[in-house]
Amino acid sequence: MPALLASVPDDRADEYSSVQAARASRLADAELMERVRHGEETALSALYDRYGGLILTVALRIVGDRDLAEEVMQDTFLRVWNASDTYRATRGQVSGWLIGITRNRAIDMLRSRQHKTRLRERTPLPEPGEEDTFGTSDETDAIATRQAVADALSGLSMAQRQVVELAYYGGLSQSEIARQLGEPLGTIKSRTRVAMEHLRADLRPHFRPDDESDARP
Amino acid sequence: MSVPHDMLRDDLPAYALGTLDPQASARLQRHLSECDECVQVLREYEDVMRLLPFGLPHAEPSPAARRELLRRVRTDQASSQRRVGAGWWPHVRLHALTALVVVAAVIGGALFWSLSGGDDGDDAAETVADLRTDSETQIIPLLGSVAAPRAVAQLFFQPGEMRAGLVVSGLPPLPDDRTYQLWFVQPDETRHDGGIFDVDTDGQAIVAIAAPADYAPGWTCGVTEEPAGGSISPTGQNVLRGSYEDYDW
Repeated sequence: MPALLASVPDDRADEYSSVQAARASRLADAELMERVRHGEETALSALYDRYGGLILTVALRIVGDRDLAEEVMQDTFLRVWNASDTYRATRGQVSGWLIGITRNRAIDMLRSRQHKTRLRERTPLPEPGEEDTFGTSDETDAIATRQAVADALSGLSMAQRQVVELAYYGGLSQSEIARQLGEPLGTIKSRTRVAMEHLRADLRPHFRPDDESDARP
Repeated sequence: MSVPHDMLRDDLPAYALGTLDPQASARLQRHLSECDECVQVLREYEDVMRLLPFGLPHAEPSPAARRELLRRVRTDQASSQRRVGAGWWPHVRLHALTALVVVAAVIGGALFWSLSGGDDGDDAAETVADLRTDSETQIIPLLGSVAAPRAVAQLFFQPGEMRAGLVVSGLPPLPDDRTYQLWFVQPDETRHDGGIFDVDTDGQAIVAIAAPADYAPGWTCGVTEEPAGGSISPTGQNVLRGSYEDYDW
């Protein structure tokens, strides 16, 4: 009978938490999103561990300031936590959805605050052959993807890279890009189209369904 | 005059980049609703968008950023009883770790109550005692809903076995014409009666129950308030809920 009165050992909570985290880390992105939708904090943590670096990388590239980039990253994951219902698996991969949120948030921040003056130590897209420090993972797939992106970008002309960069990381419309570069809108449109088509063709072997996505970028 | 398909297709890269003007975007969206080919091409451009950051130097979040995020999530969690699911069973935000800790805190008290004078709880207490000391036993924490925020419970069971026990604390006592009823819910929402029970004036109960033999991952369980004698299917408000996946290893 006295054994009945024994409380659950304190260390069970930590054990439980770590087991939950380990289980979550093995789940596919879509499953993690479903669990986030049901309020599982360990699922959000797993998504953060998987994509936090990627999100911060994108945010930093856009806002150009480490503190602001971390703010964007926080906002992105809080958005995931509070608006996970808005994710639709049929509309694309989780990583793409996260990047979309990040870009929107970062670009909004860029446009709406007076940070414009303190920002923008903007590094250009890395040159072909430039040392790639993205991640420390030695996963073969991740390395191959990074190399493929570097190769694809190296296949673009400087002008093509510029329009992609201004659109992707600057959030500029085609009209804004045309004004900024002093070129006709039609030229910008066709240049964007050619650049994106080139990237699409070169990166197609790396398009994969979400369930096969890397644990790390 | 309708815009030729090829012209619309040419807008896809800018649309994926988010740089297409609103009027052209609206026109393209209408086209996408009826052109599978363009949808497929758009998916590929979106994949390009997803991959482009791999070309950037990697930035690693600081440990402090992770802690801050979790702090903000928990603050948000505490300040809003957010729901998430749909259908008959209102999801409570179930943080399993919290559930375990809270349930652990009350379980000893509930058992003590039973062993120190609870009337017909003796058999149930013995059932729970047996289950608790068996390494095959799994324990699912249940947390109170908005209707019973202080309620917590633990379901003790063994996979493939019908014998199970439920230990409850923090449920408000009900009038004579009402009772609590436990339900096991299959993934397809089919509900199985898990039995009725009442709590004492302190809101506690230990109940021996029969779990469905095929109770398995994907199932949920919960407690509703029902008319005395119970119902064939849930009719009252949900006061406790747990998920098989949340069981305590």
